[in-house]
Amino acid sequence: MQNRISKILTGLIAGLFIAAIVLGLPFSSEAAKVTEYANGINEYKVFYSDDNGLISAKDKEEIIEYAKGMTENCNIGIFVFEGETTGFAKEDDTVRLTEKLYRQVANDDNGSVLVIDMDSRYIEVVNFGDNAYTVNSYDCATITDNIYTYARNEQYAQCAMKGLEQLDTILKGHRIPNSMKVISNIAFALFIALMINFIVLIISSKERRVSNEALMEKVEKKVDIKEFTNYYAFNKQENLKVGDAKTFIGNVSILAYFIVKYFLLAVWYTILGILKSGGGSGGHSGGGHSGGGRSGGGRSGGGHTSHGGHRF
Amino acid sequence: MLRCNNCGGNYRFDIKTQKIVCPYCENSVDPEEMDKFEAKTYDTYKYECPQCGGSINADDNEASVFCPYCGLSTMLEGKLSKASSPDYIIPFKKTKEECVSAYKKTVRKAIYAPRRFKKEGNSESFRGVYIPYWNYDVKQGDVDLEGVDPQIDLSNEKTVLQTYKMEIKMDTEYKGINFDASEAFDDELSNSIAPFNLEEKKAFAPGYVSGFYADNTDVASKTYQSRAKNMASDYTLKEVNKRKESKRFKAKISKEKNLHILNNASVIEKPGVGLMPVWFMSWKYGDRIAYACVNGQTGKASGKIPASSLKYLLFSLITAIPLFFILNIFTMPRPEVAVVMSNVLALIILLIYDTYLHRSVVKDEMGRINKDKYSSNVIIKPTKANKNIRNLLIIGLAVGIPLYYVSIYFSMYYVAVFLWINVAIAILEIILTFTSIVKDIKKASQKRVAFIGIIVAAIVSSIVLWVDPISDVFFYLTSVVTLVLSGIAFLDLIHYHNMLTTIPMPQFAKKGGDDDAE
Repeated sequence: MQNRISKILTGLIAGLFIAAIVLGLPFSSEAAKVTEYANGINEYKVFYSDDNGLISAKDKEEIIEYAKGMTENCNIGIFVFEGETTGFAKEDDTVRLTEKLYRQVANDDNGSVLVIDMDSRYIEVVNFGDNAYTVNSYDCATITDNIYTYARNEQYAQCAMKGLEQLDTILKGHRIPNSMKVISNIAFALFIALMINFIVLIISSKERRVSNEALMEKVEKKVDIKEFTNYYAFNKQENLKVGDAKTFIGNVSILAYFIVKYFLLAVWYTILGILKSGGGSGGHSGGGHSGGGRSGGGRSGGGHTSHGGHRF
Repeated sequence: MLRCNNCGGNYRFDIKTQKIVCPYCENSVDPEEMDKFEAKTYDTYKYECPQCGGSINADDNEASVFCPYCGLSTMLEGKLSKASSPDYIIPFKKTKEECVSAYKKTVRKAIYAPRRFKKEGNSESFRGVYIPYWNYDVKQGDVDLEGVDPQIDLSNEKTVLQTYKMEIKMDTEYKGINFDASEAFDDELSNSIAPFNLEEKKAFAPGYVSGFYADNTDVASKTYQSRAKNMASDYTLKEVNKRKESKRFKAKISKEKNLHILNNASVIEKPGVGLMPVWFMSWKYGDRIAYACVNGQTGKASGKIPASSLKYLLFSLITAIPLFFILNIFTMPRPEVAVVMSNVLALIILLIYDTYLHRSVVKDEMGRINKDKYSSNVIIKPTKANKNIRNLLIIGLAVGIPLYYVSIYFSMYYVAVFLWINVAIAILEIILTFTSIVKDIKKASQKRVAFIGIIVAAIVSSIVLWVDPISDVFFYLTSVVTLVLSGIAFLDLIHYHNMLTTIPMPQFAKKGGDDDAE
């Protein structure tokens, strides 16, 4: 019984892992054409790719010129491509393709890439090397939150330009606006304050009930218990044989072990996610895990990355 | 009323000197040196409140009378009457100034109290009232108690249950277990200023009540008899458990059964009545009354003070400022996360809302029932239906929240997960509303409807997550609206909290016969 349960659980968890990996992999990965533009000052470059021609030549020149100004300490990439995504993890496919493209041309050098994926309908900002620490996933998500409307309105050049401007602001150590989130935080702060004050009200107005022991202290007592004169056993009772009590307890323990283990893992990743990306990930606007995990790190065989995106 | 031998003025009991003093010529007399008082009744003036019908005794025939039950202060003419002489009295030991000082210490903690409650705690507001208390002497003789000793035999895989019977010869007596004998004096309030020290009791003399009010005994003595027996039996059982014989034979004493045995073996002789000193203050709060009282012997103060909604909101605004900065630094919720988190918080508020609404409705219902008809030791607890719903919700949250995080870890379909969680929350809120909240709202004196906003917000949030618009504005707007509507529910919570700290304006019907001692 014990072995059976543990086998079933192991198989279930392994199956979920395999499904996540298989469903997450893109089936096709034909590389887009990436053009390099040197800045003439150092080894860092601007990487540009727009196979679909969504951005006009004039706008492209402006974007590249602006991007060159950002290459003091890192590479800058602007990728517009039509990726091939599969299944559920559309954003992850965009990120993987971006990582693959960038590493083909720049290895793991410091860099930030603004991506418009016309297939998955995601815009992403992906950062490599030291930039991944400077521009974290929350920042990436904020940039894309602020510019996705341009992409939705097919203003791809403005989308790219605004994205680069905000990226530049962060790389220089300043903050970018995020008014919707601020408004949301005001509401959360007010609510939590109401909750805290209510708890304070309850605690401060709680009257301690005087216990019976305290009441009896003031009572005049005479307690004279004489010897227990007699005792005897009666009504002896035997229970039925419990049999598999030990093995039943063993089965429950194993099940409890798995539940607790994966619950703690989930809590741990949640804490990591909150600290690094400022919230949950996924959905139509996502923040990613920085380093390791589902993007970058182990599976992609690269260095530290951060990313965040928004659907359009 | 007692007249001064010197000038004929009304004697007043002076707390500081513990003597009866004439306020006009300062002639003082020790009450115990007066002619020994043995009458079963004494002369007094009885006042009946025109507002609530409550009656109280004083020793002036025309006075500015303050009704401690409903707070009415008016000029009345009292009717000469005979009041039953109690068996003993505990004179006032704490002066009015000490009482006010004790009250102010209590009120200092009530930071949300309306300003007038803090201002009103002055010497003019408090009245000295002698409250009658039933006094029980409980005797217990020989009993046969039971003990159960389960033994697990692992080698033979069976459990053996041994039951022991112990014949105990004992002689126990408890003197002075007391409970208030006034219908109007709330049991929770009387418990909060307990206990009185009966070692300082004196034989009754009318001089002690000079200058004070005295309440009438209008609760039957049998009301508290079972409670007195329970207290005595509980103490006896603890003494039995301390004995080495109990431990030596490892008998686990079955508490419920043995308490029952001891109660049956308890005997209460004729209960007596004593007058206990209480400084009393009451004030009107809309159509309700709030009370504060101070133990006139020990100085222990107690008061259930309502909260001001304005002060509460003001403190919340101030608290929100640093919270906002902390939230801004550490977290900026993503749109769908903001929606779900706001609904989770709203669900928690709805649970608290249900609890407070239920408690305030039950309290008001019990307040309308005569004390003789219910056990005065009732603690308001949720009904079984409420407990089941609450357990269901707690289990739902305990399973649903980790399940949400596990599914994110496995990169499952994100928006569907958020939608699923939100729909589950909306369903739970609807179930709670129709199985519990609506029933209590029908019984409540004021129909408050802020909870409807929470449910509407949950339904709208679910629709927004289902539609999944690209623009973030819809998500954040939904989240903000949910939080605002839930925040409004806090005002209802303050209202229910105030219902719990006050009681409806009392209405005393004229009763006959209960004032007579058994």
